Amino acid sequence: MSTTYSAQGDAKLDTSQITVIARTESMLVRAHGLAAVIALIVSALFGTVVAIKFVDPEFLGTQPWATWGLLRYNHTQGIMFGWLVNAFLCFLYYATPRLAGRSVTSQRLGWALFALWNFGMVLPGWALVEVNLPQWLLAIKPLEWTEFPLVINAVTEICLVIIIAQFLWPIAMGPERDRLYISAWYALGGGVFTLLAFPMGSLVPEFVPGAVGAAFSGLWIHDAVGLLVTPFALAMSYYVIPAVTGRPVYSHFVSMLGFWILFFVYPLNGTHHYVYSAIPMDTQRAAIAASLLLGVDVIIVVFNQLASLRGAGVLMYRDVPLRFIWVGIVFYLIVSIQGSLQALMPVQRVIHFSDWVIGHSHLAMLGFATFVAAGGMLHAWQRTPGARYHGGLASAAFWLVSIGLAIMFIDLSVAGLVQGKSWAQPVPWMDSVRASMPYWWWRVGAAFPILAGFGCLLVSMLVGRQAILTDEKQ
Amino acid sequence: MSLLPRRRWFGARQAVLFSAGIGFFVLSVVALGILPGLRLERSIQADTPAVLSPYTKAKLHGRSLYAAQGCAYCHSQQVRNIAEDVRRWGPPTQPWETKYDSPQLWGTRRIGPDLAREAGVRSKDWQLAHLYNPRYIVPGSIMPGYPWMFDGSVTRPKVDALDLVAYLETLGAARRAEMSNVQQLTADQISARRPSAAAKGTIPDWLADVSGTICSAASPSINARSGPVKNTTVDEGIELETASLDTDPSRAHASITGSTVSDAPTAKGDLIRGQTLFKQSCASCHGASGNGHSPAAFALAPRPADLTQFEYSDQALASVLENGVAGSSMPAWRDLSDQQVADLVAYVQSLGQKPSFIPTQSATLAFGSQLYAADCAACHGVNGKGDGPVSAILKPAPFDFEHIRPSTAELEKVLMQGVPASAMPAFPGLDASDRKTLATFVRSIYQGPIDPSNRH
Repeated sequence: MSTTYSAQGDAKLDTSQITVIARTESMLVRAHGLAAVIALIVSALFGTVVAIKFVDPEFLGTQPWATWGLLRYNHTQGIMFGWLVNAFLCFLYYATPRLAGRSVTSQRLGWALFALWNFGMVLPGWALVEVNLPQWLLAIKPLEWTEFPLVINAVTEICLVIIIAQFLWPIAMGPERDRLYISAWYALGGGVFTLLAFPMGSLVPEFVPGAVGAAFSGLWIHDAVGLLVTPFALAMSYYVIPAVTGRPVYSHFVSMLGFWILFFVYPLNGTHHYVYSAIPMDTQRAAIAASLLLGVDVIIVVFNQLASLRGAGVLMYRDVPLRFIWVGIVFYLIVSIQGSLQALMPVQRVIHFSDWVIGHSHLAMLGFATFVAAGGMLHAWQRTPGARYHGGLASAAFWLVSIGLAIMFIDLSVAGLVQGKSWAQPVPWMDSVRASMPYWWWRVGAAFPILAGFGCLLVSMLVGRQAILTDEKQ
Repeated sequence: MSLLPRRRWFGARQAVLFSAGIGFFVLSVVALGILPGLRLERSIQADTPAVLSPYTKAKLHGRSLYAAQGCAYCHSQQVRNIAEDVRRWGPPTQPWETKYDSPQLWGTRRIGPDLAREAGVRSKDWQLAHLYNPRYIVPGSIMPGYPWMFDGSVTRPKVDALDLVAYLETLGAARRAEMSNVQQLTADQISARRPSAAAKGTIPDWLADVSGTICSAASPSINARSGPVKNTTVDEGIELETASLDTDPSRAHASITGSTVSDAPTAKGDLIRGQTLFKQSCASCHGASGNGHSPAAFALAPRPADLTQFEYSDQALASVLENGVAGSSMPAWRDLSDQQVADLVAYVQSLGQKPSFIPTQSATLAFGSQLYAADCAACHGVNGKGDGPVSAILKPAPFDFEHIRPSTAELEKVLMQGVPASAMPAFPGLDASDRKTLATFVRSIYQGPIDPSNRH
């Protein structure tokens, strides 16, 4: 009961007491895990169709539902809400009892959340985007990362409240409340921040016009990645690394330093999506400065996590969830340093509006977030009674997705440079489209290893041996 | 082992919840949302010109379609404060331009071109045909077609398509009207019309100079490419007013479609490169062989020119490429380099009628000139330069026969049938020999492929 993180091998760990006091909702771990991977595959299929439409615009025909724009909304919204948050919830059901020393608030509330999130939010969200109704409550919002209609956003917000009641309440009020591990910090901070930032990003730009609306919209574009995806992904990596190695993290002080700088600096990044725009120059400059600081912070965080893995080379390869995690962390380092550099005005000038940014966002959402989420989810999955797990297939998933991501990232980065250069020259606009075509074909090619990898991930969670029933085993 | 202070009244969890979760959120909203927002509001209030009006109901409907279909995910609507953007689309977007845009559609990606200055750049026919199937007009385009906004055919747009195009027609219209007003002011007044003090800091200092220069685009010395699309393609009247003040005789010849060209292309054109460019950019409307027969042609009125039936002076072609043809679907091709313009001109010259100077009897010419004076001069001008007294209000502008020479067959056909969707009527009163005589006279006006003012 007195342990903060079971993985520390704390001598005072009293396993039997924890199981009595803090129960893990295994069924909910499994439900959210499966929902996550299914949503991942559906969203990736949306993305693949979007990619194919770049090289064959009439693929699937010209019916309203098959329009490029609608499929793109469903790709990004599905990845964020359907895949990533479901994976986070799967992990939270496993980790909260261990971080808080107390069960989640209610099993019933858990099933309500599961139903509401998947069947009240993700599925109807996809459907409403596809039918594209004109009523303002049911209509698509043209706001990046929150395109689902307002009525769906209301459900999301209700779910965020439930998430706070279900996970954050036991963490904040449980027996461990005065000595919380860093993963719990990230869950607390990310949960509360998103509860506030999501309605701000979904409502304010919808009704505040023009340049002012863009300023608020920019905030959410970054908050979605920075204050929803990143904190929960880091909560996972900070949890799994010591749990697998059996040693504490390198430095708790550095953990906290990284946490505070991240929460201070991340939200101030938003305007870097509108560099050289009509938004006041001072605001743009402030966001660029914050973006540079963010790179520094990520170096601190990633250093701390990788330093915790010193001497664990064999485990880093053999334990597939850990491999997903630490490779995801390396992607986090790369994508953040890239992000800091590309926020600089001379770089923005060339790469903004181009496929470079699409490569960057895939390195963030597919490289960092998806790898870490898959690792955290599989770690919980392996230790959940009744769940099957196949290490070989999970490893195959790792390699296939890695290959696809590498092709896609390099391909899109080069394409972005080609486009930026073309736009700066006195040539017809279509020259940039013609020049991009080979790169767009390569991206379609990259979709196949990625889809195959996701398929392996799903199968790895359905076959293989069952987890050992004592859920405090290591 | 924990480094955290064990204080119950204010521990780590409170710090995390209230500082990180709530405090930093509020800080970011104030710093990057509310404070710049207030400043933007002040500058919008100070700078919004009277010409900017809220959207009509139809345009709002068009805008909602644009928003829902995700057009903004491929077409940005903000010209950034950088030379690359300004060269293509004109002066940078100012805060007031999107005053009525709720929600904003600035976009963060460009697969197709920016649309912040789309008004007046392309004709309604062009937009509709392009919306129906973008590849009718732009070969190699990857934009989705929207045939479901039409009633089975490109010529029968539904209200959705019409509203969407009406919305596109408003993009940048107020900015353009505002700039034309500025052009008519004196230099002192121009400096007074620069962004207000409240807007200072919203654009970098160096750019204030750039936009100042662009605002004074009436000056003939400025490179034509620094404007979005020349005013002539947008509003003939304004340019003609400034042109009439222009007393420089060397520029008088420059009036082809009522517009001005800084210089005839000096580069030597390359036929092969010109052919490639023609295939990529022109053949979709003018046809692969340049004869005006193409899938898009039947949707455009007036129809794309049959380039095999005309001789053009180099300057006339360069001017059409630079400015487009107002009142037709021919857009400006301002993003072509001078070399590419020269290549295209060379290729189009090779398509057209071969220059021929058949000697004609002076009696025929004399009779032809009488017919011309009676029926044609009001629009085409007494000297055939397309500058007759009525020409100022006509779009497309009447041909300047000094620079454009139609074939005899084409002239006879047009005299019989007129040119649909232009002011050129049919002349049923002329018999076959009159038409032939008139055609002979009109062809005699042509000055040859090289502009006479450039001959030395």
